[in-house]
Amino acid sequence: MELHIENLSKNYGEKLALDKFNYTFKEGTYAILGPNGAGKSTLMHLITDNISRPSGQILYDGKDILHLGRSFRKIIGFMPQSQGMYDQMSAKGFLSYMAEIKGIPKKEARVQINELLSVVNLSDVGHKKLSSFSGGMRQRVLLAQALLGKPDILMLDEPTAGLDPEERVRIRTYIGHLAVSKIVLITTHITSDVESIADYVIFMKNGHIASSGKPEQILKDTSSKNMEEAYLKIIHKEE
Amino acid sequence: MQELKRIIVSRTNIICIAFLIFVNIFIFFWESDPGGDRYTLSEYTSHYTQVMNTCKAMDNAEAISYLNNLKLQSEGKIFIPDWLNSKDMERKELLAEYYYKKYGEQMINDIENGKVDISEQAVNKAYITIDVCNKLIEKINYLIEYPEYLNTMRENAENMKTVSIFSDPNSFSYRNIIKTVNDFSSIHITEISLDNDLAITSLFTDSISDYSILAYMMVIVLLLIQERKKGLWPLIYAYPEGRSTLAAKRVFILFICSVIATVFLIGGRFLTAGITYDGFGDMSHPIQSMSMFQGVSQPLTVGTFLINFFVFKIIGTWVISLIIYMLMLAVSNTSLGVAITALFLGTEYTLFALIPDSYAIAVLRFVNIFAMINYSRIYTRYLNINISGYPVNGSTLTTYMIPAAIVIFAVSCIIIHHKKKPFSTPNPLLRLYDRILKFRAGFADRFRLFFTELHKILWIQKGIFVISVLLLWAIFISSYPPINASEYDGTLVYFESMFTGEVTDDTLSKIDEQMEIAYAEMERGNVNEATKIQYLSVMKAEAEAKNGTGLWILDSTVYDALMNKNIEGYQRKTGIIAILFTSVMIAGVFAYEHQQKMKYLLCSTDKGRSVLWRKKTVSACILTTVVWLIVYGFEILHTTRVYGSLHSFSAPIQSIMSEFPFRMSILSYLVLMYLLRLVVLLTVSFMVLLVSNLCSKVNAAVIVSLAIFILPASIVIMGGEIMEYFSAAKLLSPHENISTFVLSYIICLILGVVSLILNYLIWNTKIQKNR
Repeated sequence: MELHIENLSKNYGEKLALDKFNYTFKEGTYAILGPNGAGKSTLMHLITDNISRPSGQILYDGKDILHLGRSFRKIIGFMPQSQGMYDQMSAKGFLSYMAEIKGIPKKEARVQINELLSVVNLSDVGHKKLSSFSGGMRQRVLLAQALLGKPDILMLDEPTAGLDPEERVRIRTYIGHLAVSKIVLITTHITSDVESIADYVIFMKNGHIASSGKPEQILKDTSSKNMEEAYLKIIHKEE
Repeated sequence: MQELKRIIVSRTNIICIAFLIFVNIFIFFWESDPGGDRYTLSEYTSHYTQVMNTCKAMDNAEAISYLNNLKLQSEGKIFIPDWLNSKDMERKELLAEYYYKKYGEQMINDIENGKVDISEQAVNKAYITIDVCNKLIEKINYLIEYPEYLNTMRENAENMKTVSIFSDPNSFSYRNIIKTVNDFSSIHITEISLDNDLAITSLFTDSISDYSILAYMMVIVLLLIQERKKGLWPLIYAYPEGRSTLAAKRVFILFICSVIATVFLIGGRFLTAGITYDGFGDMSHPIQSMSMFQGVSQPLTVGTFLINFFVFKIIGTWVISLIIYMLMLAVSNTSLGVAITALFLGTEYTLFALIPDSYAIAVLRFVNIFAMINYSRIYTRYLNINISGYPVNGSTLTTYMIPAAIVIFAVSCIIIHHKKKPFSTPNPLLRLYDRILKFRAGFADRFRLFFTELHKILWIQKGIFVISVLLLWAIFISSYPPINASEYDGTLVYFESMFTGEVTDDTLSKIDEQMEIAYAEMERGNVNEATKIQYLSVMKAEAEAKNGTGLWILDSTVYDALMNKNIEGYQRKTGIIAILFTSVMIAGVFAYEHQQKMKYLLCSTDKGRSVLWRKKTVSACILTTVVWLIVYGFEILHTTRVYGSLHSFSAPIQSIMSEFPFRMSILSYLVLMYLLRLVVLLTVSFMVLLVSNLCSKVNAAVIVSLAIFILPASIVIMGGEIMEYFSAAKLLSPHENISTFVLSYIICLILGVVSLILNYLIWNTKIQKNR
């Protein structure tokens, strides 16, 4: 399983959001770090084909994802950096709805929903309306929907934002287990998450990769004690 | 199917359909009120059915004679006692010959001797009989004339073919004549007959259901694309079933909702009409039995026509919803989408409603989205349009356009849904919209607190939309207050205008002068002068009574209409409109802060308590005043346009309202009357603000306000008189004896002030508790 990105560029008017981005993702967890406007979300939206691609290629196992179309979208799980949901639906109702949008058969969806609600620790409140959920609970529902259908490629935009420390540890452990046979892309600002679950770290700035590699290699190369220090060094070095 | 479930069981959908069903039924009763305060709808229906059944057993000529006789008897019950009891002997004598000739000696003697019931109840029943007779005479005359109408059409066709300008077989005119005759040739004229068609007529004269269907489908479309507002669009778009499959499902959902809209909104009204009007009549009758279907050229029964109507409505509604959905999909920004859709619908409606038949572009009336739901306007009128010299029937054009439109718009929806990316580059329209928003934001930044509050109500809570709807209602839908025409006589009004002014000896001598001239003319053989003398004697009696009191003689028609003198219901309805729009507009003023969880943040600031509370209240008062200005400003405008301008401002109000206890001029009375309405509206707005402060959601505040302030008044209109005591609308419809309402006004004012104080305390004391 390989997701190969080649010369991927994207601009919004005069602003260059992604500048000839090249990278090959294989099975494992990839943490994408970078300041606001570095192009992290744009990258995810290009992979999910939410933004039109002006130049470059995104190949999944050698085939362009635009040609794969539906069959590619069938194997992705996406958690955008957004808390928008249908407030009048229950958590279970929302997940059932998303399961249908993902094309998961009803029976299977029911099993998965119960399982995922338990994973994100929402089994007891699955029947309750989303309007009554706190920010952290909503975040967990969004994560659960991304995991529905056991996707091969998982893209999580700030998955642990808004969670309390206990929940964060729980979720990131689960994500760590998932990554065995999947490509997991995580954008985050929480560097402790990166240290514990990422197999690879990509630092992005101004639409391109500032640095990448295994976490221990990055720490070694930048002579840093932790990822936070490495982040500051890499980003400031770029400036 | 989760998507269908999401839409159907959504609270918005359920509330919306329930609200629209209520509005439809309410407007049915509003429009069907046949006799003002004289009789109820059920009394009218039962009498109509009884008389109609009697007529059905007779042939047309016999029925007309029977109805005319019945009408005469009823008129006698109303007018003879009035004439007999007249104290003006001169007038009584003058009219004697006329009365004996018209009603006969027997009837006059019977009434005089008490053999005929002339109680108030009997007189009211006589009024029903007259209205029923008039309606049935009109229907039977149509039945008599319809065969003649078809024959005339055939004869005209033959005659016109001989006229040189129509005789060219290749011309549109010639082909049109031939086509018209051919189209109508299949109708079997012998089958049409009288029947109870009140429910069917009510269905086809319905003015509101089409618009409520449009509003409902707009809500459904907004629900469908809710993922955009919720930020879920990228997520849904990223998944396999989130593109064309979802779009196809939504196209199907729009069809299901079209069925729901038609069944509940049109069917609901139809069912209500059927229950109210004692059934739907014989469904196997030809549809041409009713005069409004004279232009239908197919030989259809009422039942078949109804089935066609419902199928057409469902399909037409589906097409319209597809178009709205397509427009909303094409424009990524929901607000801009709504604006463009409104502009599109406005243009289409203008073309549909305003293009005359004779114009070359008349085809745009039939190839129009409003033609697709407005069955009665398309299928009850026969019109051929010139397309390249060939006559094409307008309704046929619309019928054939519908399947094509379904395919085109359904496919367009699926393609746009599939292709339109959540983060597409803004097109020029969106860039322009963005600039407007930036300009608006820059402008809003400069607003001070008070204007910010106004801005919140008008823009954020869509108050500007409410005002626009109110303005549209005032300009296009609202009407002038009706008067009971039978109580007004053109000749009398003429004389009133002639002698307008304070009554003095001079007025009396002027009347005498006119009478002498009339007598002289009569002696010369001019019989018409007798009527003139009759009216002048009425004027003289009035002048003698008013002489020396400072009162005036004047034509009171325009004031009677404005002051709600003899048709009380109208002003109550206008009052409901004023309360409705006030409630909807300002119900969110405080609830919005609770909904956005801003209250405690606001109250922790310097001006967040009393200053902000004051600004919010003042903003609400200003907007209430705007509603008052629109509702009553247009009322005066429409009234003066129909009944003539306002006049004789300085005359004492007792000149037209003898029982009014306080001495004041007509102008002062008018000012007082409208100011009282403003005060009532303001007190209602204070109560709405209190409700708003007690609700944590804007929608809840609107619903509760409507339930408290609109529901009782609406129930009164639908026949529940008991709710009159709980309705503020009564105070917005003052009767002649306005003084009897003083206590009610005082109670209303006290409630308003109490609400204001409570509202202030709640806005502040809740904070104390939380602290």
